[in-house]
Amino acid sequence: MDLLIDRCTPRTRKGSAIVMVTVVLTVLVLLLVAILRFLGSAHGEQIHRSDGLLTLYVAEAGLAQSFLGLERGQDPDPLERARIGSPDDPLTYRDASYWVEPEDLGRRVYALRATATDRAARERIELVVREIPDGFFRYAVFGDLGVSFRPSSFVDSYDSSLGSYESQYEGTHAGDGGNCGSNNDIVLETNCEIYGNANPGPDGEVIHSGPNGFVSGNTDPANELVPLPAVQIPSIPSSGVANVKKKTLVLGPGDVHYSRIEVSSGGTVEIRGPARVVVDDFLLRSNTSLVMKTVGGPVEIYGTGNFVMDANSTLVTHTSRPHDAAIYLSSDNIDGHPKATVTFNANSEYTGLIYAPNANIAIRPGFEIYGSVMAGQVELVTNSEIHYDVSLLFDDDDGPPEYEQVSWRPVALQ
Amino acid sequence: MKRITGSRSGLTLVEVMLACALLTVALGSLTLLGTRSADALGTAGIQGELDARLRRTMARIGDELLSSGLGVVTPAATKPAGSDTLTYRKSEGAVNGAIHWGATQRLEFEYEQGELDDGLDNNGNGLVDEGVVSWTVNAGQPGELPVILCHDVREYAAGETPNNVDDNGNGLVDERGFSFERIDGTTLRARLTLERLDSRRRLLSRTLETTLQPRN
Repeated sequence: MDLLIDRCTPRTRKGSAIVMVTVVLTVLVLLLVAILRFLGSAHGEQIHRSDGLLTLYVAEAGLAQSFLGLERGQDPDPLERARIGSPDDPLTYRDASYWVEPEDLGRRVYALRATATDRAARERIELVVREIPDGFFRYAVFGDLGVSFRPSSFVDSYDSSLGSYESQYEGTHAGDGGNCGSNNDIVLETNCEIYGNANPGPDGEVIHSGPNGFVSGNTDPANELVPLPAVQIPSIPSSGVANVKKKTLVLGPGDVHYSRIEVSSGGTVEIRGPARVVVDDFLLRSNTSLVMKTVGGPVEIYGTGNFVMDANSTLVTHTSRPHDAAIYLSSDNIDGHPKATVTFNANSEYTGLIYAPNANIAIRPGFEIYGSVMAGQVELVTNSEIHYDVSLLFDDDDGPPEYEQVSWRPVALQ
Repeated sequence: MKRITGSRSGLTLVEVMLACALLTVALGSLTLLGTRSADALGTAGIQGELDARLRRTMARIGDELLSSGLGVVTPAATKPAGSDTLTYRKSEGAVNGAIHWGATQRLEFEYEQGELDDGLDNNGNGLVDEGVVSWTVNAGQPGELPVILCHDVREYAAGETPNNVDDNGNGLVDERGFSFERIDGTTLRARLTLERLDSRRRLLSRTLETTLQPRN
């Protein structure tokens, strides 16, 4: 019996030790697993966040590359300049892949959408940019000393690059880009309509001198004065005086200078572009015509003295682009000694530009302008109309375009 | 037989007492070490958890403000007052060549539910006048939806007491535990201080500061 007891006791002790060791080890292993899982999840969160940031930065880099291509690229198509890689053929940066897909939103506004992927992380961001206007004629109407809108005068806009004004007209008007400006006050009389902004000078104001004057945009004063540089008259030897009566005087192509052209009843002056015509005194009497043929190139008329288009004269422009026809007047009918006479009283639809920094220009109801008028002072007589061509905002011949940011945002992945 | 009996007599009383004393010292040391380790681990765990919540909350705020613009962020939040609330809008793309802003949203410090601004621990969680980071979607509009981004926000930033003095030297006077500061025309700085009690009822606080550049 003693022997049995002696043999059994040590076996029992050994078994309990194993059980205890097993329990302790199990607890330790569970603790270790718990700690490892905790550390693993924290590390995983860090990695996920880090990957997300990396992909965001890679997508940002893609946008920067696309923006640079848009501004500096050689391809004439802005979309191709801005395109970076594709979903099937992405670019890579370290472990991340990225590509940028541009979209034309119209009116020289583009959306650049960059996508970047890195392991499980994906980011997609959108940058909308627009071309910065660099054209000189940025207003439908601008008057250095002021602009007056008489009763029922009307200003709106269209885009000649998209088609005719009629094709863009919707019920009441075409576009809302008929901005009007001044370095002084803007006066709105009864029932005048401006589909665009009316921005007076920094110290000026918009004065409603009658009821129902309508401005679709803002009427905030401009931040700074808009300079109106003097007209640079081309130096061309004068051919003297021309009196045109019941016949047609053809000028151009090329440079022409007359000290005086007087067109009497039945007479016509036809200018064939490309031409620069300097006329010191230009008098277009009733029942006469001025024809600006721009098929071969632009026509520019420079007036230095009197510039008169009497009632029942007509002005014909063979173009749908106001860039092609321009009347530049250095004539001064405000402070000149003697004062010049400047009158636009023709019964015509003029597609073109009028620039007269020293003159007071009155636009009459029969003289409907598709383009822009910038002058020392502008008066839109009762029922007169000006339709601004927003393509004048951009000067495609003046170096590569520059763009500015409109919007940045993350977008949902498709 | 005598020899066998002698070997069974075991240790002397002195030896046993010595062994007991050594064992006591060893076990005491182990216990002390264990307790301190557990304390340190607990403190580190709480600090780690606060840090993780700080990072998570700031990342969320950063994501929110990234597609906003300082032109639509109010108030100005300039020094020395800063601001414990920020109203903003996010870009929803462009319409007719102009940016289209989404609904108004708001980030702000609010007192925790059941907590009052009275210097007392009203809700009995051991923290005095603590707050939350509240994010409100469609602020002030129909469908307004408040969301709590983070609890345990200190009433005033670390080192700051309400005395009209910039105690912590960061340029802001009496700023909240959650505050904004406009640095310049493009950049905001956000600060968040969280606090919690550890197992021994000691107050632990952690602060995270980040600069944000809204892209629009």
